This record gives sequence, C-alpha cells and structure tokens, in this order.
Amino acid sequence: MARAAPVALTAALAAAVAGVAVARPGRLHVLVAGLAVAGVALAVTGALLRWASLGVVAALALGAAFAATRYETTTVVDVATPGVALGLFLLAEAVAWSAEGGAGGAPGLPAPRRLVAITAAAGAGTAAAAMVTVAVSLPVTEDLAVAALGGAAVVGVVVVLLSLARGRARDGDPDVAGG
Amino acid sequence: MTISYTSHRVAGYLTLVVAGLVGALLTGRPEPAILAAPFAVALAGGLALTHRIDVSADLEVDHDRALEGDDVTVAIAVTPPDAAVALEVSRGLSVRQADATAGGIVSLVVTPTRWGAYPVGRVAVRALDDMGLFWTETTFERRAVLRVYPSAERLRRGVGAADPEPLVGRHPSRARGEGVEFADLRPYSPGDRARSVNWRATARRGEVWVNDRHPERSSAVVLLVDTLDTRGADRAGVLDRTVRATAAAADVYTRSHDRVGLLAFGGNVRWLRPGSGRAQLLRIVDALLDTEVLLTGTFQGGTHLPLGALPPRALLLAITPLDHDAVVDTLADLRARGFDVAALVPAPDAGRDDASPSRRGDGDHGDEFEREGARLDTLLRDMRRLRLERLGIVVADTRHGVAAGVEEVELCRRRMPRVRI
Repeated sequence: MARAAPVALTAALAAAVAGVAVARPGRLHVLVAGLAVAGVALAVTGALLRWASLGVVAALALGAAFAATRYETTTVVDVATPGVALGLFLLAEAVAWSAEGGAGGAPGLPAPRRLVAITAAAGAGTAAAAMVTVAVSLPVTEDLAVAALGGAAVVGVVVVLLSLARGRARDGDPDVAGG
Repeated sequence: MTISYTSHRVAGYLTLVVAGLVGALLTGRPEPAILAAPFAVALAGGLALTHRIDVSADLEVDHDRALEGDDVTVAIAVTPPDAAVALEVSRGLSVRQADATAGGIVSLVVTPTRWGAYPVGRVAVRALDDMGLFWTETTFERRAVLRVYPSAERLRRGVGAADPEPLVGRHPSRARGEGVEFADLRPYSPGDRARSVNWRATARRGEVWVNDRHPERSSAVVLLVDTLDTRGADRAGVLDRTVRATAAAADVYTRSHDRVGLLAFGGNVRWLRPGSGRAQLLRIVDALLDTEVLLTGTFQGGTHLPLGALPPRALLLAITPLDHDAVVDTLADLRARGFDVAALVPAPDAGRDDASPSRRGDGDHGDEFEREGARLDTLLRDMRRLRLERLGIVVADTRHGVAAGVEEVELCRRRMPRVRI
C-alpha cells in the first residue's frame, strides 16, 4: 500500500498532464503525442523502479509536449499553463516520494511535514506561475528592451538560485556529499 | 562526525528551471518559463529557508550488566524528534525491536547472544530539512559498555583443597578435630568432650572411646585461567569453554564461602587477590570478560606471575586447554614450590559433532595435513597431561560438563596418596 500510493499518484498526474497536452490542437501532434507517451512511461517507470531522476526527465518530456502545442500559435498565453506547471511539479514530487526508502535513496519526510512542504511549495509555485502568466499577457509591445529584460530576468533567477545554494553550502559542514 | 547530503531533487529541479528559462528565450514563448516557475520557487524556498540541521542524541542504557539472552533497553533521546535513528551494535548483540515514542525518544531492545564486554553507544541519526532537499547523518559516540556475563553451569561443589585454611568453612578437612563428618575412633584422652564419646564402641571394648571428626574449613582457591592463543579452528570455542568453566568454578566457590582469586595469563597477566562473596564473583567474571580482548600467544612464562602473592595453602585450579608447554612448565613449577594444583581441560561436549579436520572424510592433501596436524596436537596435549599427572597434578576434561570434570578431579585426588614436596 505504501508503495502503491505514490505509483498510482504518479500515473494519474502524468496521464492528466499528457492528456492536456494531447488535447491541444496543432500541427506537431505527432511530436506532442510521442513526448507525452514517453513522459508517462518515464514517470511510471521511475516510480516503479524508485528512480527519482526519471521523474525529472518525465517532467521535462511532458513540459516539452505541452510547450510544443503552443509553439506555432501566436495567440496569448494559455491560461491552463499554471495548472500544467502545478501538475508537473506534483509529478516530480510523487516520483521522488516513491523513491524514498529505497537502497541509497533519500530518507523520507514524515507525512505531516511532507504535506505542509509540498502544499507550500505548490501554492507558491502556482502563484508565481500565475503571476508570470498575467505579466506576459499584458499588452506590451515586443521590442529589444523587453527581450533584454526577459534575458536579465533569466540570469537573475539563476544567479539567485546559485547564490542561495552557495550560502547553504557555507551554512552546513564542509564535508558535503551528493546523495 | 557529520555528513551532509543533497537530494537528487536539487540538481533535477535546477535542470528543469534552466531548461524552462532557456527554452523560453529560444522559442520566444513564455510557457516553458511558466512551467519552470514552481520548481524555481520550491528550489529557492528550500535553499533560503533551510538552515543548518541541528542534531543531537542522548543515549541511556537501563543496565550495564546482563546475562546472555537478557533484554537490555536502550533509550535514545533524539533531536529533531522525527529523525531516523540507527544503533550500531557489535557482533554478539542483536537489536530486535524498535519503538518510536512521542517526544523524540526511540527505545531499542538489545539482546546479547554471547558473553563479553560490548561498547554500546554508536548512534547514527539522520535528519532532513523542512523541504526534504538536504539531510545530514550524524554519528554520536557514547562510551557505554554493556558487560554480558556467561550463563555458566551451576556446580554442586568444587574441587576441595588438600590443605584447607584454619578458618571455619564448609569443606571437611583431612585433619581431625571438631566437626560434623566422622573420621575415626580413638581411645579417650584427657580433654575430650563427653559428647565425643562413642558409647557403643566403649561398651564393646570395655574402655572409653571417642569419635574423631573432620573439622570444616574454608579454602582459598586461585583459578589459573589460560587464555593463551589456541591453535586450530576452534579458538573462539576454546576460550568460550574456558570462560564458562571458570565462571562456574568461581560461582560454586563463592557460594561455599571460600576465598577465590583469579590469575589469568594470556598476553597480560590478570591477578585478582582471593576474596569471598558476590562482589568477588562479579570482579572475577568482569576480569574474564576482558580476557577476550587480551587473547594472545605471547606468554612470557611463570617468572612474570605474582607467585609471592599466592596464598601458600591455596588450591590452584588451572583451566587450560594444554596447548602450550609454557603453561605446563608453569604448573609444574608451582607444584614444585609446594602448591596444591589441579587442572581442568575445557573440551568440546561429548555429543557434539566437532568440525575438526580429524573427523572429516575429505581426501585431498590439505585436509590430510590438517588431520595429521590435529592428531599431532592431540598427542602433544596427551603428553602434557601425562607430565602433569606424573607430578601429582590431577587433570580432567569437561567433555561431559564442568560438574563431571570437577567430580573426576575430586575422586582422583581422594584416591591419590598425598604428595608432599
């Protein structure tokens, strides 16, 4: 039962995200369908084999499938995108959950702490995704300045994450090992 | 020692964030960046909110002494309360139950399966941060030692000393005087008490005859324990039997109110002055538990033994597998100095199918050499035993139990003429 729950959750989330992607019309439907099937297969395999890294690859494949449906459109941003983002995040968390307790795997969080942590991260992440969606939906003329602003934002996010990671390493003990 | 670990998710989420942002830039569409947003937030939150994980563990053992098979509860108070705890135990101990209770106290039941002195207190605590992105494993060392006593055979009596000390005890001495056990009849002499008169003999012989009795005396016994390294595959078994036989002998002598001492000679000499009572028994068994650590074959002979400290009328009961000439030389030297010496040889049980090479039927050359080696060892042991017996030292083995060995020694010593050197 403890093993079945994360596997079932993973399969359900992967199927839902894949269904959203495949349901979108477009000329790249073959590519979208291929990525969606691969994403579902990778997610379920990762959950079954307790291989957390496959969850990330599955999220990448399913995200690429959804993004591919929007590639050829010129309309505004799909309002379902924050929901898909939430689904991908929960999918990656579900695969990681299934991998806990396995040989060499990460230790598991107690259920209450896990629920609080995932709820907080998912809520904040979905809010951030919604804000980005609203921001990019604003009627702003596309020019070089906007593109530069977008590039700067990307660099800014990466720099913030890396500086946080370095600060975390300094807080901890010097003998940091990959797990 | 603390080791920090990073979850696979950190690298994976960072990859997704970079892929989403780069994908958004390359395609000119915002969707990849929006899809990456929850991962970026989770990662940023995990990194920003996570601080150093403070872990502590405090271990408490409910007993520091136990018998083989007893349960000992180890309570570990751990911080943070939901941290996973693992107690590392030595071979000879088993952890068979773990109950996590409220308040961050983990109770483990440790069961010793073999006697010995075991360090208990190496605790590994694994704690996660709030997001489960990082965790630490910290090992705590607590210097608790669990001393596990052997469950020794309970003897009815020990080998009696040939010349007990002039102290009232429970062993009938060979001397004659006031006591309980009848010794002989003799004619009355002035000073004899009226209660000693044997009226039946007096009536038959026409003059007053009195009973002579053996007075009860206590003995001083020194257990000479040979813990020198043993040849052959059954080294642990020999030491085990030696310790069990010694513990059984110490137990019976302390129950008989005799004074018991210990002289263990392995690599180091361990000397415990004879004493009586349960405290002395515990001291002896404690010393025996340490002999395993000192098991070595570098015995430097009897010159390093505290011969001057041995009580002159003490029974020296050697418990030795007779694997070394040096031990036999030492016993012969003690006998030559006038000590009362007997020996018990800890042997495997008679019904046990010993795995010694001599009992195997394999036919290759290696086994043949082993068989010949075992036969040679047996021959050497027999020669050493014969040498001791020629010196008047009774030797018996414990293949039918320590009690049977003790009875055999006692019987042979009664039949043997007293040898005065």
